[in-house]
Amino acid sequence: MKFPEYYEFSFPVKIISGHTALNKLPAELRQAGVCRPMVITDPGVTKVGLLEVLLNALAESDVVIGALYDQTPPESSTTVVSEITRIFREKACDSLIAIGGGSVIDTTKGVNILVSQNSDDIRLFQGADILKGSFMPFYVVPTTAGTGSEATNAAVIQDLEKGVKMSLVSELLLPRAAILDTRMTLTLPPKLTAATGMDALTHAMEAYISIQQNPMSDSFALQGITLIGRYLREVTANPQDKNGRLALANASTMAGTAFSNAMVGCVHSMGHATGAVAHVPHGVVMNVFLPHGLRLNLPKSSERIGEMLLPLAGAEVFAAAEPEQRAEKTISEVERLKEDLFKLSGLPRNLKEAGVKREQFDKIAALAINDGSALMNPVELTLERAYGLLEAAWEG
Amino acid sequence: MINHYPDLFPRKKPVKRTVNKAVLFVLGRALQSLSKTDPLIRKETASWPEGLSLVMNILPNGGSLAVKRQPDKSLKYLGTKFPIDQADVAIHINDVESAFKMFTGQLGSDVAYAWHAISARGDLSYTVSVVRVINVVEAYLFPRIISSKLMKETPPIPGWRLHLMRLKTYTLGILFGI
Repeated sequence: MKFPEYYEFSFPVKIISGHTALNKLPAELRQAGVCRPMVITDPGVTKVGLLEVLLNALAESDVVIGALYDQTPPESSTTVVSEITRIFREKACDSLIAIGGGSVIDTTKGVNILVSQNSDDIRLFQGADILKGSFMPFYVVPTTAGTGSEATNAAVIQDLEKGVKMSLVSELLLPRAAILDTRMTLTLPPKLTAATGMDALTHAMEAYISIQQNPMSDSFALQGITLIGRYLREVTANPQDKNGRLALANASTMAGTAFSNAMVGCVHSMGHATGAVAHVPHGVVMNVFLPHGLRLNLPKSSERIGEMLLPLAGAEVFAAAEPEQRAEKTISEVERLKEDLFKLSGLPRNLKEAGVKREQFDKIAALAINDGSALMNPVELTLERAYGLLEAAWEG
Repeated sequence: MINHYPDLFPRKKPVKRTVNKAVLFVLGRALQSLSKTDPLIRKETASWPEGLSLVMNILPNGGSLAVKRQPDKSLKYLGTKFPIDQADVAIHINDVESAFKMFTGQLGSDVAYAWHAISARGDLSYTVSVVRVINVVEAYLFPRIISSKLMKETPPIPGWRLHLMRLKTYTLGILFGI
């Protein structure tokens, strides 16, 4: 692939990474001149006691939590965003802290749009690159290492009235800081660790071969792949591995940064569609489709797929493969990783194991070819190719 | 003293502006004409809701086109004055140079998106379908040597149809919207 004739790259997020990184939050809020944040999270975070970590981090500070909302549902919606916005205003909060996974972070991005743009209707802001003005100080504490939402410029919010998912894309949605604290992902069970790790790997790999790739996104993608290749098996086998947990949290943020600036491709198109039709968790479908999506792109991206062998499998494997074999070897290394994660955590390897039904293929294929991710995929995702991917992933 | 620092107003690029506006008109009429008969375009518009209005404009005031999806799946060209804030989907080309490159066969829709030359308001799930429709229209309007550089794959249009429809689009389609 040629050096891009033109590209844009934006990443204004401060990364605060460490085993007790959250303890820096009061200083960060002070620096932004705010002291009354609203905390948005979900029942799962509260249940496993992660809020305690936040409350301890704020001890002896001048920060008052203006409001705590801990009922964010697994899928963000217009109703929830409006409800939280009302509370934010009534309690006169001055900043936002999201503690959770993709849904919590997307919800908080939606709330930030409404409070910053002084509006009550999130639907007005649907679209790409149309937001203007300044936004509330916003901080993200991820509790999974996969979505990369803390580093992405997009939010997906369900419009319950119309029954559709709205996409909102703008670099103004990025938080002021992402706090990667080991304690926040330590309680993730092995299967979820494996699934979210494969989600992050897919972000990095698809960003690396996207038609929007650029040297900046490449560097984040390659380092993300390196960390996942080195630590995902270890952490899935030993969830209490603090060092590995922190490495994976960093990998997820790096992969998020890469795809926020280079987009993803057909694996995500297939994954979004399969998730919508068959209600399979996102990380699971990413794991299922990743090698097949890479194979689909071989005709146009074999060189770059081959380049990912070095970060994924290490120097010895890379050096042992002939240059023309490296793309296939990358794909077989992804398949080997899938097998290992299946043995370690039971993460489904194919659509059949994930509970998808063959009669759902028509709906999935039709949805997939209209998914926005398909635009930046090197090879055109036609209906026939979508069916091909489904067939390949059925038992493969 | 302050008179040494006058306001510097943006320059004009009348040639590019005129070309852009002319192509917007051609594109609008071509969309209307081709959507009546081309099966690839009709396959796409079949999934659009009836009455969907789509505006493409060049920011800030570089011209625009609007089309509306009709009950028979065709698109009706609504001219250049359709209010942008009333459109269901608005595709904005962010500057005159990007628009000129897109409209003169130097920049494809997906690369324009990758370069942030385009922003959009409304339901982004239509974006991919709209890009496919634009690709088909460009395949008719531009010779294959140009259109093949503008998209990942040129649409599967049989040669005889390509030539016949191109002739019709450049005559009856653009002149009379038929």
